[in-house]
Amino acid sequence: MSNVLKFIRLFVANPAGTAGLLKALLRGTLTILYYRILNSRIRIEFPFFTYETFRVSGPGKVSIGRSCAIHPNIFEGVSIVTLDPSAEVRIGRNCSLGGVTIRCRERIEIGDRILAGQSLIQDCMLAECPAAWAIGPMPQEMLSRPVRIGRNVWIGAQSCILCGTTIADDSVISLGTLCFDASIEEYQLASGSPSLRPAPISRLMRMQDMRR
Amino acid sequence: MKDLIADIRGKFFLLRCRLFRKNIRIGKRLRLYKRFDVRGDGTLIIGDNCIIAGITGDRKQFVTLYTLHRDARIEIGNNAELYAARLSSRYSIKVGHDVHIEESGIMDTDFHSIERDRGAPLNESLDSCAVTIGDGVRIGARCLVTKGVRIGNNAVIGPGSVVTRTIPDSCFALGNPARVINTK
Repeated sequence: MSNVLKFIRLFVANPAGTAGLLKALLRGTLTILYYRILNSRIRIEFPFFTYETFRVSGPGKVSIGRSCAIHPNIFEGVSIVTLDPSAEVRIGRNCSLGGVTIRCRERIEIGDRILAGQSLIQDCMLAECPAAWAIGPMPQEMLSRPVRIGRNVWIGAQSCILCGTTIADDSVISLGTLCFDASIEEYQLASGSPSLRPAPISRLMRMQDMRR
Repeated sequence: MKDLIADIRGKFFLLRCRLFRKNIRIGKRLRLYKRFDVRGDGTLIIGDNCIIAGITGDRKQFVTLYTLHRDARIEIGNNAELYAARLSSRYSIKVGHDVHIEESGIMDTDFHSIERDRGAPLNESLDSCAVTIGDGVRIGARCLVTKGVRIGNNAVIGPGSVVTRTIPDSCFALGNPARVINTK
């Protein structure tokens, strides 16, 4: 009952925004139904808000937790591609994704409460398989390695998160960062392309205070 | 089924080039999986057994090969695989055999000068701006290769990097600007 009251109060305060939210909820519900009927490997939990296009393709497994939202970011929605039947993408709860492209060959785990801009998350070097690989052995750095992203991570726009990266909880990936085989620890800021030395955010905050 | 349609589309494209566009020369068995845009009246040479396709997970992007001048020249070797690659040439771009290029741009000019009038770039010539990409090179998604770059044979460029300097043979480069991480 209190939820209904809260909703009415929200509608009075911001009618256009609430209408957009309802539309996104409807669209998300239709998306859930579509994938539940056609493709049992993709599991999305209710509620799911899609403000922009959401596409999943490929033979692997995809699971998305409840109350995730797909926001538009540089006119792009989210597209998730699994390149292998054994590939698995797992996204936690309360994520807000905008313009993310995920290409998975092995395993990508994303925690709860992620904020992401237009970025690329890929656990392999090349998305398409070159014909030469069918004959010879795969080069060492071409092998796919799983990507793991913790809780409450903020991923900036135009960043690339590539194979072998692990990002711990509460970290920030700044704009245009390229993470390759990097391990970013808890509450750190990663920047640069490629990101070499992530800085602890608590120290950065202290420095900011000193400057004042 | 997809391969069959790609083969037929390629054959139609070859026929169209032979009839109307004499500046384009394409070898045998071109496979077109997605839209293929060729503009300009420069020379374009593509070898045998090439694949032209879009990249998975993106519906908008397709392969574009632009020649910006009559003397411009794009040469692509045999067995090339272009997935949403964008090549635009003012002088010359040479790509070797068995290359694999994904969703990245290759350009051999700056398009404009840094002067106030933004005219044609000064101090650009064929020798200093030609881009050469060796045999067996693999270029990842969202890369950019700028003018005057030579990428050696069997080199690998990681996704999201910007190549501004010459990359030696058989190595793995990454970042902006692209640095050599290790050699095979």
